[in-house]
Amino acid sequence: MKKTSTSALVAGAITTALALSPVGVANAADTEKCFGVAKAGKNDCAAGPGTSCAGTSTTDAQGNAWMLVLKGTCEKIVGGSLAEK
Amino acid sequence: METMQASGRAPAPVPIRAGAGLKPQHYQSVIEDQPDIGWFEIHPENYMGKGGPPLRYLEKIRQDYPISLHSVGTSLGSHLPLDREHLQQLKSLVDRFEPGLVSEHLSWSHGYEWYTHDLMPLVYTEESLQVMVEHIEQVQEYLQRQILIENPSSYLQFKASEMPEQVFYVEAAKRSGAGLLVDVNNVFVSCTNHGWNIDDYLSEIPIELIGEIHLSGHSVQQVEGRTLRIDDHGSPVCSEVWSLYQAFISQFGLAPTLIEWDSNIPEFPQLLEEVSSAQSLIDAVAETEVRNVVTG
Amino acid sequence: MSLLAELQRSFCDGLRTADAPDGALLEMLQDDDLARQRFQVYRNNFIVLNGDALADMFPVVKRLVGDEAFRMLATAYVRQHPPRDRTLLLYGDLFADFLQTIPELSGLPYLTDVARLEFTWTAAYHAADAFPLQPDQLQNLSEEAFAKLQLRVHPSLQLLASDFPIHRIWSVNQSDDQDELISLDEGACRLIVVRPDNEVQVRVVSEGEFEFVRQLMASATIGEAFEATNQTDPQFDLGQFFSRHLFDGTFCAM
Repeated sequence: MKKTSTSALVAGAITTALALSPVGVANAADTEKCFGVAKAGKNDCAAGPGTSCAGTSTTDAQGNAWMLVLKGTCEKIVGGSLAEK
Repeated sequence: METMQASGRAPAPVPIRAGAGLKPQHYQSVIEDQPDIGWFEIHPENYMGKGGPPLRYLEKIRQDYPISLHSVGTSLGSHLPLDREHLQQLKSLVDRFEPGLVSEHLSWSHGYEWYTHDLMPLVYTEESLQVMVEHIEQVQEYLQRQILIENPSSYLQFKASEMPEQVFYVEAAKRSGAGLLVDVNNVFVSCTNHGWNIDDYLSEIPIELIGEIHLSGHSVQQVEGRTLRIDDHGSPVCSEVWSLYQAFISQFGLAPTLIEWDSNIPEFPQLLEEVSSAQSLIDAVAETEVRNVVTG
Repeated sequence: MSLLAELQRSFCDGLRTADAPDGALLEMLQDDDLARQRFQVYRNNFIVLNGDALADMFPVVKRLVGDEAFRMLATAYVRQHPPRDRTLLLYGDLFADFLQTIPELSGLPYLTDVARLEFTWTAAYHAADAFPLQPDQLQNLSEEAFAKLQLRVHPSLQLLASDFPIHRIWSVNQSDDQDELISLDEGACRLIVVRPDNEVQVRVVSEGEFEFVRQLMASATIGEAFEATNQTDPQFDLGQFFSRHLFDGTFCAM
């Protein structure tokens, strides 16, 4: 009994989806111009930009010991377990 | 750009014109405006995803322009063997996009099981030379084509080096059958960083091996009263490097010339201006050559 | 060991350590009083270039903790987990786990899941392409056959569940000018991340939709997946789910 009702339900859901589906859905490869977000490529053959000056300093500013100071939008997130802090 | 191949693509060979490093920030401008640029160069490592937008953009742009693949991940100068998987990925990009030129660096980035993703300096010994030659040969055999090798920008030298960089560089190409990608900015940066003589450096370079030229900007920093030039590709080409380039193409002849701009990336028109400047110098030398032939 | 191998390993040790580079390494460099600074250029490049790749992968984490803290975290991560791939496309696969180990971040319990979402987004961006399931592939099947079908989800599709409202946190932090208050009391969320075509989609889904897709990914037939889903979420509406997603690229050609 259970089996019949499952296959009937599934068949109903798919038949509805088929009825609603537009004819000739465009394929990914057909799209001409917009290919979505152009995410920056990360590999290149340049040295570290700008901040290289930090690299030429004689002492390494950031050794093993470091202290995190959080100064971001995390201040805008409240409630939940944070209230217990 | 006018002549299309049967595949509906721009021809493969990279013309003796000025080209630009292709940045994702400029994809849309390139597709919409179809700028009059001879060719584009890409780093294949940025297109080694399984799919997605980057490959689609490249497919589209390749329809209109020849491209060159400038690899940064092969680590030719590493004591470790070449990575088979990386070579396969490189080969499949070569097969798919039919680049006019393929190049790599005189450098290494693989010392342990991890990668530096920055080009590290080589010790110029006979041992490194043999490693370099062997690796170039393996890549060329795998890709079934010649590759070009680029001279590096460097900031330090090793005591153990047995020969000048330019001797090592040219010898690596000669023994392996590779060509040379001469980065004029790198010649300037390395020579000034190490106090080498630029003319001595260039005098080693055999004209017939030159397949491509690179130009880019670098930054200048003062370290304890000394000047160190950093090859950050983040500014226009400086006047000294333009002069060096002009002298270089007058003496050695013309080759496809690339403007690289990888950090502080400008709006597309500013990059185009740099490309036009290189193109003007190419045109001027080409004209002189024609005149010499006619009157000569 | 050959000189080349010795030198390259020693160079890599020097790049990676947070301490001063080894004296033996500096001994191998030509000494013009600047050897240490010259080597420092490479150390810096290694940290900055790979750290920039992380900043690019995790812009929301960066906004949440601030630029300076992010730079410190990135530097520590690069040293602890230097890139294992030939490309930087998916560098940062262990960053979410790494954040969990940092005591100063214990007050931001949602941060790890936000990092996971950002990594998942980029993984979907670079995932393999696939042709969407087309209506005509199902047209001639009998009713009985439908329930026995195994649907293939798009290769980019990934599921992500969090005890925190990470979708809201992620959405409002897409630009720098975020000043909305978000309460963690908004609670858990379940997400499907998928790139049916060119655009990566992050969809907030019900418990049932999440479970149904999880079952399909574990190779259940539609019928099996539906029955299992009904156990966890009797409200699950298969008709509505298929009407929206059966042919929109969530599933690919069989």
